[in-house]
Amino acid sequence: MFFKEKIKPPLVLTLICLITCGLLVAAYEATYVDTTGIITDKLQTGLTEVYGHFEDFEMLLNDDGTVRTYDGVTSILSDGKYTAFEITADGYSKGGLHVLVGLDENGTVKGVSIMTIGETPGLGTKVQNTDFLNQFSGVTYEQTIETDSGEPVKAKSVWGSRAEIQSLKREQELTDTNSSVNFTLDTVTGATFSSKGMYDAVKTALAAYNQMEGGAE
Amino acid sequence: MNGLFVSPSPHRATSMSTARIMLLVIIALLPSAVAGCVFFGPSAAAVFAVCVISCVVFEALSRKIMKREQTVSDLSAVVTGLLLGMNLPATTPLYIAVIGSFIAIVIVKQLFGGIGQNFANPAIAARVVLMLSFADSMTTWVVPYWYTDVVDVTTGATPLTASWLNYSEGGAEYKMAPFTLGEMLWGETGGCIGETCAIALIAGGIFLIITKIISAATPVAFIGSFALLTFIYTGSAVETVYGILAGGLLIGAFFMATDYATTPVTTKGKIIFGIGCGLMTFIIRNFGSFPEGVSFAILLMNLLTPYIDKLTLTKPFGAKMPEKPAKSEGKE
Repeated sequence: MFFKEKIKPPLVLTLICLITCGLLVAAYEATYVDTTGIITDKLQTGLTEVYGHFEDFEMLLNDDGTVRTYDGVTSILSDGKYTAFEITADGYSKGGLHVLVGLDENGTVKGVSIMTIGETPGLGTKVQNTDFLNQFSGVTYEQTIETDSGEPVKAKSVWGSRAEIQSLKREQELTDTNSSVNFTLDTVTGATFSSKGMYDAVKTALAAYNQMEGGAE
Repeated sequence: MNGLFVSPSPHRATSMSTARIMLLVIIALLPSAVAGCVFFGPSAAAVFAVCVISCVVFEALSRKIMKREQTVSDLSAVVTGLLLGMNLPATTPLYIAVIGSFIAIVIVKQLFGGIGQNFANPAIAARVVLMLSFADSMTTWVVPYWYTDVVDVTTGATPLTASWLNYSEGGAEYKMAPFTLGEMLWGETGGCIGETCAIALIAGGIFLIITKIISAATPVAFIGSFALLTFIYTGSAVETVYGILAGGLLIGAFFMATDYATTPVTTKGKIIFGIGCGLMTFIIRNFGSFPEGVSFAILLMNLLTPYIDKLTLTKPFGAKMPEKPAKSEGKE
């Protein structure tokens, strides 16, 4: 009686879930195509979006013939002049942002192309907005280095008058436009995690480029 | 309902009918609805009109199609329409408002048997569905008086999405609220049409408590638990008051977490319900990816209501709880 009422239903459901998962894994494994080392259609589209062409690009390989990777970078594509980084970043969902960050010959960001996006439809997917993506153009490695401000000071919250709020806002806009030191991210309303994920991807690309230029050659 | 039915005591006839209760709720909602129309202009009024009319039409049609007794005259569809309209941004495309009304009245209310039978607050459920389906339109916020020529920007941040302004003075760090206390109370901020005017919402809520339409237990527990948690988390009275006045907390606590059909019956249950709403709103606002969590909190607690009711069942005076069937007899 107890078994039939309390144990059996969840047990059956668990079994159904397990079997379904197993089938899903099997189907995924059976149909998986290894695209390592191949410039896929998605990468081609991404490259075209950033540079206008993809034909001359080649994937950088290590000496032993394996694809060259960096921390967070899946593959690096180069045509000798420009370098693009294929990156999977975490947005609101883990690994939800599969992007191509294209740098120009000086190592500053030329453009960002989203290849696949697994974020919340309508919210996280708002980062595909060109206005949002365009803010990354021209960002340099130096701008993305976080300046360590030390111990965060606990700020005291206060009410202000309309005039005080307006003047503070103006002041902040001024410092934002004048500071070339740090890049400030304008997040998309309702898509904070996805916006930050996109910025993380850009930072990863710039850091990898810096490492390549500084270390390898 | 024409047949005879048995209901628990006390059996007392009062002049309070569903229509009268709904009428008082409408009166309580009017000040904030009017404030919303003043701040957000003709398009807000249009959203209200479309929501109310389509809710009433859907109610009448579904009762007719289902060959049930007509319930339009109990005014509950008008309340649902009004509440739905108050929970939408002023620039919501009108067809979305119609879809929302359909979800509220047909799917959430009538398919489950009509007034009193719905498992969730129709307006809340509709708002959540619209929020997830039309995220773009549902998160576009116009600034107050955007329809006049006085302001040059039309969209802006709401109290929940605007960032606080940092500044230092005399070696100390300060964080200034992006809206003044007056603006927050009066409601001259961005947001859903009917959620911004705190004074009108509080007045409406107090009116409903005084006329005994709603019990003070839920709103007090909801706002109180949210305030306590926010104060512990931020350590700031300013941020606590700001959090209470911002977003849909007041309209939710007074008008939607007090819905008869979808919230617990007993006072103990109402307090548990209110605390649950406050806790979830606090968690979603501070740690979730959505800026606002009131509608999700109320919807989730709506689903828990049957369990809360079961747990807080009042024991009739002098009665014995039914004993569990003895497992074995005569063991001694």
